[in-house]
Amino acid sequence: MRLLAKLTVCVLIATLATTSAVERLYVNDKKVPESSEDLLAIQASLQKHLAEARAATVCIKMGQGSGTGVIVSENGLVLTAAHVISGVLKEMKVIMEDGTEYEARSLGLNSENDAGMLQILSDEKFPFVAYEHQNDASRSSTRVGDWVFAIGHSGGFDKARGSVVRLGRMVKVSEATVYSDCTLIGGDSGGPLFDMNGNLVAIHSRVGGRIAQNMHVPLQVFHNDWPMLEKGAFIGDGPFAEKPKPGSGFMGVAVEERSGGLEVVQVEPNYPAADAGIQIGDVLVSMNSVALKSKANLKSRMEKLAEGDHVKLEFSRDGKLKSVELNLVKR
Amino acid sequence: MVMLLSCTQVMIWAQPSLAVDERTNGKEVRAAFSEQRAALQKCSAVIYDGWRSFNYGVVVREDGYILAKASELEGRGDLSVRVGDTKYSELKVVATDPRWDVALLKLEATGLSPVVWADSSDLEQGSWVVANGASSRSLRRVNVGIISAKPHEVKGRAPAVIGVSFRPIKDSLQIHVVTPETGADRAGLKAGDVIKKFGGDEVTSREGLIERVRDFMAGDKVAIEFERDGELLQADVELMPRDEAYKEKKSRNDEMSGDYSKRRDSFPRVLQTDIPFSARTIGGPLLKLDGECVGMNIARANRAESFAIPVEDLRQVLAELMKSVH
Repeated sequence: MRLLAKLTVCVLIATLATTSAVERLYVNDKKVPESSEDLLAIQASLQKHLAEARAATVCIKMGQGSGTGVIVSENGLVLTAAHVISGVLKEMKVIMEDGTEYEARSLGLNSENDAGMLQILSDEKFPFVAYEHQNDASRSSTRVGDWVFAIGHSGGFDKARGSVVRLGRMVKVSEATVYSDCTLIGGDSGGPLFDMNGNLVAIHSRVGGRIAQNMHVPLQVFHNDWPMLEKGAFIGDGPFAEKPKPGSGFMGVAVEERSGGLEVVQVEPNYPAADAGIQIGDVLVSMNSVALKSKANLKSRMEKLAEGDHVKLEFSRDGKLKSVELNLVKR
Repeated sequence: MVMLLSCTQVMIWAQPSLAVDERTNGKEVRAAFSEQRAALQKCSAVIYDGWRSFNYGVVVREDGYILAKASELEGRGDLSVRVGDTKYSELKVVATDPRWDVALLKLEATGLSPVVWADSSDLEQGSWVVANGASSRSLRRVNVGIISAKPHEVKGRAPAVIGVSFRPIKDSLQIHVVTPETGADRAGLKAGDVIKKFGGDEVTSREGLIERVRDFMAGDKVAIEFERDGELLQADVELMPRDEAYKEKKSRNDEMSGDYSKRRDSFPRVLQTDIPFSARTIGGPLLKLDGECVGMNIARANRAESFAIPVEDLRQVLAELMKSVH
């Protein structure tokens, strides 16, 4: 642990040395605000960036759970916390501030540091906040003492109230977690933390024992795994999300062996196979490009797959070869 | 509804962290609010039960009128109020508005400094606001934050209850269950009784009854007329705070919210702030940076949300309450 601490100090010093190019709110370089003028400067910076920040902040609903996320690209890529999406390639809903709902699918997550990603499933163009694309910590302008603001759908979506903004300071900065004294509560998870230049700096993760000390995942943590997260990978072994166990996946069909494949004899309504259009009488030919010749074939494949896994099925119907793609659900 | 926020504790690396005094509500940051602190010192009242202060109040007239959070006065024995350096033990609760949870108090005082009302509560989100924090006799701390959401209604169930549930029958209020140890139970109401009148008004639906109940505070005794075996009977029923009548399990968000106000919902309209109040620091004025009063802090809702009655609504409430003075 001690060695880790030393390494972090080195990284931070390198960071500080190169941030001078970023235009900073002058009050950030004071120990504390000293006058009404300083207080108003903080207020003006926050208000300058608030409308844009709020427009990009969304409520994420999955089952009974509710969290927050922030849109970071025009096509609806959303950053959130791993424990909000709780699994990869799952269906969920995203609610914009005006109440408009969109279907969304979770992408990847890192279960060890609470980073998560999802994609809104729509061709529309979305309001978004820019983030630094490079894996370049030097661009982050946030240090201990910097003024920041947090946004989130505290306690769930409330259209009349809207999302909730809180002002605070960076209290502690480490590689995997940053702390602020912005207050947070359930429902805020996955929401964005911004600096006074309107830059997204971190994602809300968890509350501290003290009301005014809460934890966020720094954006750098997302950058470290970005391509994997975009591909929908489940990274790490907890504690923020539990990896589905192999054999937990279900598509909702019963089959009998036929020459050339497995004939569907039963389709469970509202399960992935039914939703993808599989019908009784279809003959399954292959799964993920591996031929299905016997029930044992299918069984051994399903034992390796888990809830959330993506499956491509080839089947024949009326002598024609067709294919569908679906995500397995929990049995 | 499950609210997502993990509580997992994680090892903290040895990094210098921001000194407590330099945090948003730390001593050195609060020093920048000395003007607002001076204003608060004059226009707020500290409300005591015996020697212990439990809430603040808003000084609204120089001749001793104070607004306070009504539900916090319930069941208090030995009320007194301090304004500035003077403690007043002669005081009267003149009138109460149960919907806004506001009581008008009268002290035997003259020459007080009332709040300076702001023209409007229409503050842009993110604007600094200042209120009273913890205080001792000699030291009054400020408690600072920002306007954190749009002004909005806070829905909720009636804060005071009589203690009955009804059968689902249209246009009838036939009692299904009487909760033991409630006003209804003590007044002798029984399952099968049909409530006809509440406080002199005819009631035929659950919704209609609830609307009438909202006009009363816990502790109020209300005349109820009911029918039993074809006979019309009457009883005086004492209303009780909902959370005393029905012990409800705390939500996870409540578990992590510390000391929040007992009455924290059912307000027609509120300003929302991120000021880290406790239930005890509610009741005083909410000031803008220029020292003008934009509202009255009416509830600590949870660890991230606090509510204030907007100045426009508060002045209307005050005008109504003052009518009962003369």
